[in-house]
Amino acid sequence: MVREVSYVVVFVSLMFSGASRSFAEESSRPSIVVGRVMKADGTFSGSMRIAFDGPNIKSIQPALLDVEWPGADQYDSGVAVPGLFDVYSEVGAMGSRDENSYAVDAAANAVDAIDIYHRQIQQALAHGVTSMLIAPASVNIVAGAAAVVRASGRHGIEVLRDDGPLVFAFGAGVYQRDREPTSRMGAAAMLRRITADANDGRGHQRLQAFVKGTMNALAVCQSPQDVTVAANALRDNLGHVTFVHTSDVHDLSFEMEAARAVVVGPLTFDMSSRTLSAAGEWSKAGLKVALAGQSPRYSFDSLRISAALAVQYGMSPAKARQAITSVPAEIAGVADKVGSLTPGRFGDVVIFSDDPLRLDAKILAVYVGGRRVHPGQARLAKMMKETR
Amino acid sequence: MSTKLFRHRGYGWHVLLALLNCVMLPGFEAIADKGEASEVIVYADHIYIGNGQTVDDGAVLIRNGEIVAVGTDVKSAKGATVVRIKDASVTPGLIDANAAIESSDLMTRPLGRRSPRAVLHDLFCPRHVDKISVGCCGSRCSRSLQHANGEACRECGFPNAAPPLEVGNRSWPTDVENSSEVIPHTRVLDAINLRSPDFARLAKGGVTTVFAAPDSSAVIGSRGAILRTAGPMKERVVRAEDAVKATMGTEPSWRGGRNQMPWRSRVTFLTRRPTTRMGVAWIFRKAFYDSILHDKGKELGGADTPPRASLGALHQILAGEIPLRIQARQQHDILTACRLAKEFGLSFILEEGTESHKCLDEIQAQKVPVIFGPLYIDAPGSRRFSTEVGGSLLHTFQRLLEHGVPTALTANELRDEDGLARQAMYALKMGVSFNEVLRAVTQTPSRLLRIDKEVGTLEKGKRGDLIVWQGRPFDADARPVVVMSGGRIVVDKRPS
Amino acid sequence: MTAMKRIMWCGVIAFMLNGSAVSASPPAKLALQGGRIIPVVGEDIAVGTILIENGKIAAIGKDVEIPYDAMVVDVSGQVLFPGMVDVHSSRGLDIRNEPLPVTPFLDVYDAFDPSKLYFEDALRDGVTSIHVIVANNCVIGGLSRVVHPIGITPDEMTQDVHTSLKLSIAPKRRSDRMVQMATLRETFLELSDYLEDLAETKYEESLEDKDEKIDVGPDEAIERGRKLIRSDDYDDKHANLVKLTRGKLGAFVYCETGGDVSRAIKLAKDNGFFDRMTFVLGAACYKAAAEIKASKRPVVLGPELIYRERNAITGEMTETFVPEVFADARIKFSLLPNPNGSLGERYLNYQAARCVRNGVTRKKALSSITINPAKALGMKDRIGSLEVGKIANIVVFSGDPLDFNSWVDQVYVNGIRAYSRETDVRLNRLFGDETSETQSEDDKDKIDEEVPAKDAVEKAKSAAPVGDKIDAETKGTDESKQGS
Repeated sequence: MVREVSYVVVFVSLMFSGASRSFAEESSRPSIVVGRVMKADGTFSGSMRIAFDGPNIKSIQPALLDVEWPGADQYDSGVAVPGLFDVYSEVGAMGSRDENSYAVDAAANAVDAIDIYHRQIQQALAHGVTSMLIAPASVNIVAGAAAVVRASGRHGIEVLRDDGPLVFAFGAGVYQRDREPTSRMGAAAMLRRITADANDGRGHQRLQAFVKGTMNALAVCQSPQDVTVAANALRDNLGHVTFVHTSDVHDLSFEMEAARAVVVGPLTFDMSSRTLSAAGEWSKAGLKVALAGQSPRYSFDSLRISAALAVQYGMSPAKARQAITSVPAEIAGVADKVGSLTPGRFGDVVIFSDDPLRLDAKILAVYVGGRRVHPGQARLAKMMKETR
Repeated sequence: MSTKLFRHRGYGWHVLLALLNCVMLPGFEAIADKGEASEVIVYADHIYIGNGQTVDDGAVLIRNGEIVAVGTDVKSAKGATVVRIKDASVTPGLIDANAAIESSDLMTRPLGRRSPRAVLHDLFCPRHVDKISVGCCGSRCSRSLQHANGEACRECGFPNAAPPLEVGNRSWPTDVENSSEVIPHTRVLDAINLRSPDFARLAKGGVTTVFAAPDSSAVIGSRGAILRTAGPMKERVVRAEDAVKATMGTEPSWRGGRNQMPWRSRVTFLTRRPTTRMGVAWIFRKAFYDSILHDKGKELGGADTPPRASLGALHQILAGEIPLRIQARQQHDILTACRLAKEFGLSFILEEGTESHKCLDEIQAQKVPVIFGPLYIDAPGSRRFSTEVGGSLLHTFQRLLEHGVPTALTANELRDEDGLARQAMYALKMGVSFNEVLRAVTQTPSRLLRIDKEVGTLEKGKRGDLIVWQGRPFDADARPVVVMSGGRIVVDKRPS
Repeated sequence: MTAMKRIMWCGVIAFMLNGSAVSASPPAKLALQGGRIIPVVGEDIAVGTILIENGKIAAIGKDVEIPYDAMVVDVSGQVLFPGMVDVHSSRGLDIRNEPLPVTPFLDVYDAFDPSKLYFEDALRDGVTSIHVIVANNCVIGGLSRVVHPIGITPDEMTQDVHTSLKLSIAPKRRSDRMVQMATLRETFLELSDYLEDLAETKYEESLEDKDEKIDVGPDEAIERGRKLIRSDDYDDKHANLVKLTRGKLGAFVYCETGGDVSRAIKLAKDNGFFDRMTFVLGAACYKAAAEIKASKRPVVLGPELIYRERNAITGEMTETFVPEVFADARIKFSLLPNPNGSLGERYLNYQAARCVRNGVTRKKALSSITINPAKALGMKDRIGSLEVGKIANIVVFSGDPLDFNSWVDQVYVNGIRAYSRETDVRLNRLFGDETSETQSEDDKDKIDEEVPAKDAVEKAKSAAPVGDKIDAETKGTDESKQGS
């Protein structure tokens, strides 16, 4: 109930503030015609016309390219992809989400750390990233609830969920020198105690909801052993746990088999091949794999770089495209709103000059809620002129 | 021509990788497939059963990971995997009853005698090592690579948190819980990286089962785990929660926590007792005393009260449900351990026992088994920094055996050239008979770990954990050529 | 602490006793009879005799005629092996390197301490020749010296003086490779400048003496002056370098990584000491095996025999057993003991056994601790094997030298018994013989009866291969021994 209210309040307030400003700047077009469109399964269809209805997608229908479509933005060689989703991001919240006084801080909300008008949002849009999951920093064993946000225009972001997955954190960041736990051993003992308490009906309601299976969780793990510890301590609810783990895949973690999904990334060029092949290995083993960009700590392009590297090291291209769009949306619990180009979802579309897995593909335009937010009108005109 | 050559080279690479995987990664998929033939037969000139008996010119037959026959006329079904090398001897897989597993993400323990820096060099590229000296956040942080201005380092938390101790010393001591001196509610398994290369090194040295020992930094430490060093990950953990390790002597007062030295004269929750031997004994006594009070329903209070979470485990130790081990090196520490145990009616296993030759009668009288080792003249590894090792003599192990004390031999943190097989070699040189030595690294530890129904000797019905040696086992020029765990070949050094 | 001190004192006393034995007049003729002989050079002799005359091996073989006046020592059941050679050791020095980078004028003679426990240990471990040399943390270290581990003064210990100079290609601490190489080049450049100056001065001096004036060009003056330089004209700083560049001194050149090898070769060729260079190699140098082989220079492998590296592709740790690589490449090498070894690697013969364990042939392994280091020191005519005419440095092992259960029972240096395990105070103490501390010479016989270590070892020796059955047999022999 609280969620709905806050959602409506935020949305309405955005409609009247930031959003109205962008109306004035942009000429809103009712449709886009594009050479290829990414389907829900990660592959491409032929040329299509995407029509908007308010902020949502109204329809996607086959369209001939040779024809001039009146009133439509036309990208004959373009590739339309759902707005990219960074499932482990810090946009607008850097430096203000690492309170570590209490090792168990289930009541913390990442949404409280976000500056919804932060300049990084514009930067994200310029790289095609339109939605993010922002988790509390992994410095507490129970770090709090993640926030799921989406860009609502050129400047602002809209909160889709303020009670996203509950975040459990493992690894060096959790072991502090001025409070318990100071070691992985202590952290694991503590977590077992907490979950046992929650099973007995004690502790924060989010923890209780998690052990009942009504709330999903992210387990942020640093080393493979953290995964083992997490899997062991959370074993009764593994189906609701998504592992965030970017270390090497020494062997396929049997611990993760029962997990809901796994988040890998960002993958960078200087990682070992064993780490780079992790996404492919897990994907082949039937796990749902999302790739994270950790923007803005890493470049906003790291999502695409990660996907390209994952493909180079064994992931199928379609799965890799899903791993930066629909799978993150699913993990964040907002698959009904973003993450794929389907009528009824938000009209968040990125037009690339080629397959986004190709790193030489340029971003031609970014649409948020059916309105073009990048590049601006003047810049677009200049670009068009140059390409001709 | 050139393309052909290239293709060939590429192919060779894959073969090499595959081979590497087979040798280096026991537990890797490939090895599981390879070793999973339902029947394996191992021929050898000498089969040392481990209980003192020897079979000459015989064979060991393993079916579905279990030994089904040992003898001179053992026959296998068609299609069985055959292991037959020249001049072969077979012993049971070795068991280290007190192995310190490299337990952190960086290698924090001195690896044998090599400098931490050298270890880091092996683990990372030199470029990374060079960066370790001072990170860009100004701290001695190993991974302070990319982080934004004005923000805490994402790895070490600097400047919000105290920087980690110098890397290589103890940077991420994931097995040292500093919040209390009484932590039997924690498990060392949580601190250990099951994928640590340490296990492969152990397996290579013929060690197939270990008791992963907790650190000695707490008076009443955490619970050890019994693990296999090779085989599929799912089968690695034999017992997740085993004995609790207590420590006498000086180590709890200086290892791990900084009991005496608050960081930059800041008093933190780490600044606490004990700082002396007396303090160690006091905390041990107080913990059990409080546990008894708690059982009686009394309120606990006062300094050094054990954490609430530990009371359950303390109760179980008193009730004899959790075995207790006490590490003591010097004579008076051993005697203190005996005294404290008597006080609370506890039975325990003595670890290390460096000076136990000085108090054999007490050890014998109280029927204390000993896990002795490693053997040394000049203390190796982390013991080099200890003040408790000066009284080490070469005959202690032999004396313990002569007095009928059940004694297992351990290499603790030492590997390779000082590993368990080499410890056995030293023991032989120091005058212990072959059968006694073999027993001290197989049957005796299996009994002390209460896994003797499963491993420890080569008998029908036990697990197929064995070593095929070329030459006489433990000899200087003999080495494990094939190591099997549960009937799977996990180390294979046979010339192809 | 006091206990430790006491042990050390005992060691020192025992050592001095051993030492004093040297100065006593040795028996002129000595026959070691009935042992298995492993001469390293040549075939093994199953049962044979070595005849020693005046400190040299006079005869060796199955049937050696023993002169009537020779003292006969029965070594039946034991193994005679050449005294081993520790070819690169700085453990006799208190401080192993000067902080100064270029110190060719130093001499280990001024620094090594005969009372160091190390020398006593060396004897106990069967090492009879030790090349004392400064450690690797230098640019140009000092002069080295070959000693045997007996004697009370450095002079008594000396076997060979001023054999080699130490150089290091690997950077001195807190320096880098560029600075290291620059310093080395600069040193030799400065040397040639110095020589020119000296020659010029000499020439001018000679003119003054003759009191005549002939104008020649500077080049000619230097050329003429060079002929006038006598060997004592060089100052201390340069004298050894001059010797080095003229091939009159050996050079032990330390290389840490494979890349250092080619730099070492170039430096040696440029400055005229290539023919007398010996490589001292870090474990990583195995990668340059081909280059090392082509240079045909002797090789000394560092104490660390296993090279560990993280595989760049798989991220896995790979281990390379370095001597195996050299053996496969047919490069002769010498081994060093690892002084930090807790128990095993301290022994040279164990290092050789490790090689056998890892696939090096037995012959190569045995050579690497005896004749190969002797060759590297240029002393192959005198030490490193059991051959007629060589110095009688002989180790009597209780069993095969590559069997770790063998003990060094006796050591002969220059034909004189320098060590006997029965009277080894420190060893007995480590085996828990509390009485041995207070033993005097007079009680020696008593120890012989009571040494527990000996019995125990014999028990282990024979019991090891077969098990319980033999245990009983051993007891039998023990009894029979007591009976006799």
